[in-house]
Amino acid sequence: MSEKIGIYVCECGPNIASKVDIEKIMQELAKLEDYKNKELIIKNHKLLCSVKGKIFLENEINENNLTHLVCAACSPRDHDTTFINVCKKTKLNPYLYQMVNIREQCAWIIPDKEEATSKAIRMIHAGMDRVLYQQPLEEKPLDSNPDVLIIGGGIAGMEAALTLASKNRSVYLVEKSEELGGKSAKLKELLPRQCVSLNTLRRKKSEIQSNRYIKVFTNTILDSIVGFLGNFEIVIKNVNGSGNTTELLAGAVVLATGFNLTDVSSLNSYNIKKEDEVYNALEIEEMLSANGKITMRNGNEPGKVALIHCVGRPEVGYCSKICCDYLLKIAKLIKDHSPKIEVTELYKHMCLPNKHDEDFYKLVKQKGVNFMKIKNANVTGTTINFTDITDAKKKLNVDMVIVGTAMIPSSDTVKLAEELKLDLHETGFFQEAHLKINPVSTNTDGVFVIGGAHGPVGITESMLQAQAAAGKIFTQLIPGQKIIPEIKVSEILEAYCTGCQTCLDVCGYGAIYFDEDKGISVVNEAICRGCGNCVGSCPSGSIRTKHFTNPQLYQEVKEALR
Amino acid sequence: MSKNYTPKIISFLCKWCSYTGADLAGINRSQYPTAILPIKVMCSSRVDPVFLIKAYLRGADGILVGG
Repeated sequence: MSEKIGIYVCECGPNIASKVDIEKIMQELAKLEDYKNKELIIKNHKLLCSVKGKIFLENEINENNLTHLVCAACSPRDHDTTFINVCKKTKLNPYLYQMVNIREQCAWIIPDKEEATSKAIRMIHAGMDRVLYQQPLEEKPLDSNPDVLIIGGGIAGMEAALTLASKNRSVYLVEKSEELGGKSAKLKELLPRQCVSLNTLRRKKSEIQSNRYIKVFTNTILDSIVGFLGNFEIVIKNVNGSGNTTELLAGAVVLATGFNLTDVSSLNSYNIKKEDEVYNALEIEEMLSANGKITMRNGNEPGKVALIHCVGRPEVGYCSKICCDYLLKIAKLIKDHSPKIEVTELYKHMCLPNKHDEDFYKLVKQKGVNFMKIKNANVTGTTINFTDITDAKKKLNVDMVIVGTAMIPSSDTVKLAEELKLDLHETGFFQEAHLKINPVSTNTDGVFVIGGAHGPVGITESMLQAQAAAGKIFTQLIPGQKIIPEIKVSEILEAYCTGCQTCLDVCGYGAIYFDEDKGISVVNEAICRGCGNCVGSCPSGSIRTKHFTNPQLYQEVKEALR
Repeated sequence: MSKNYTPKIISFLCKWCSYTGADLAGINRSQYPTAILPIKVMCSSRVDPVFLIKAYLRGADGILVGG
């Protein structure tokens, strides 16, 4: 069968037609008759992506028995998938089609119609020649495992486990300490309605323990993990003496490893000793939960308490979002129990982002808590030297200092990031795939990050993220449904590979492994994203990226320069 | 050199960033010279140094690698 290239120029309504001379393009392309002995079908259309346009294209492919297709239209980011789907309805392999972006990168950036037209023709030529060098590719669907591994049994991890298990997903919940609950298990009361957190948590814990779909591993950490969305092979290790390991299979991983609090004694402005009456918020919550009141180390009630906001914020460089809220809560708890204790809050910024916060702030003020806006504070023992907003230097002696310290990533974050090939944000927390449009996913498909591991969040946001990650998993991993991995991936030609393993070092996704028996490197196609980093680094030229091969790119460059 | 000479600048643009950026320039109706001839790649790391040599040999006046 002779080769027939179909070239379809989309006018995109007036978007392209008003900026380039469609007639001229058609005339120029018509001059190419018998182009490299290929038959050419050249047509234009008002709007190829419309319902009529798609039917037109489908009919054209079928009626003309096209062997190659070029669509000169908008950006492939807009409609590549549209035209691939049209190809899939026909006998034409979608990888024998090429899109030429004559809208965003031609018509819309060149005011001169003549210049734009000649650039469009040049780009179409490049696309035509590229498509001749393209090869048909076949998708390879893979079986996927719908089970989920959750690392971290705090409020976020528990909520994700319960949400997934509610639709009969098997969940492995791994917690490094001896009990589920995480930081929120230490809290005395929850904002804003002051419900007792322990009851809520106990209920969640007992729900998890009685749920037949959730298997809990306490005193356990992740030992190793390999794989990709739908197929992760996991080894977990018991850290409580035995060191026993367990092998698991799962399709997705949720990281809910929580946060730590900045160690206040590490800060330059804090000169404190271990025996000083300086506590962080979690220590106070634990104290309140244990005996319901605030006491000093000698068992007496303090006469004066100072709460300091934004401790460590300048050092870490970000706001921890929930500390103003919880310091207000602690002040209220102290006043509720012993109204005669003198409570002062020293703050730089009062961060009250939630809808209930203002009312709560008013309530705490009414309880007789003093508020003082300051510029900075130095703390030695329980003596606070501070500068107020009039630049006056002042001193405050109290019996107890409570610090609202910055939230920082938990200690195992770096190790987990290395293990799972995840990026870290400059703050040290895990980096999400996109802060706004993909906030709980990561750059590794099938790995999600929620709760304090994601950044400073309170319980509300942890719950939201847990439910969001569960939702993502429900849509990405459907029991019985195969997943289709990226098709434009790298492949290593066995005959040329010298086994130097340079590609293993440059692969950012960990998609290449070394086959000891054959002495060559091999690409795991399910992990590879086709970036082509390995291709450029291979000294023997044995790697090629499908759909972006050297001949295809050379040809495109050559024609663009003709 | 004729007055209307337009140089040819082969631009290897990473699908994820600079190609998207070039699209954004179009969406914003920014203007840049016709000389820019975009070649989409999956990642700027895909650009083998040999590509640059071949492009120059084929008559490119300049090469831009965006990534």
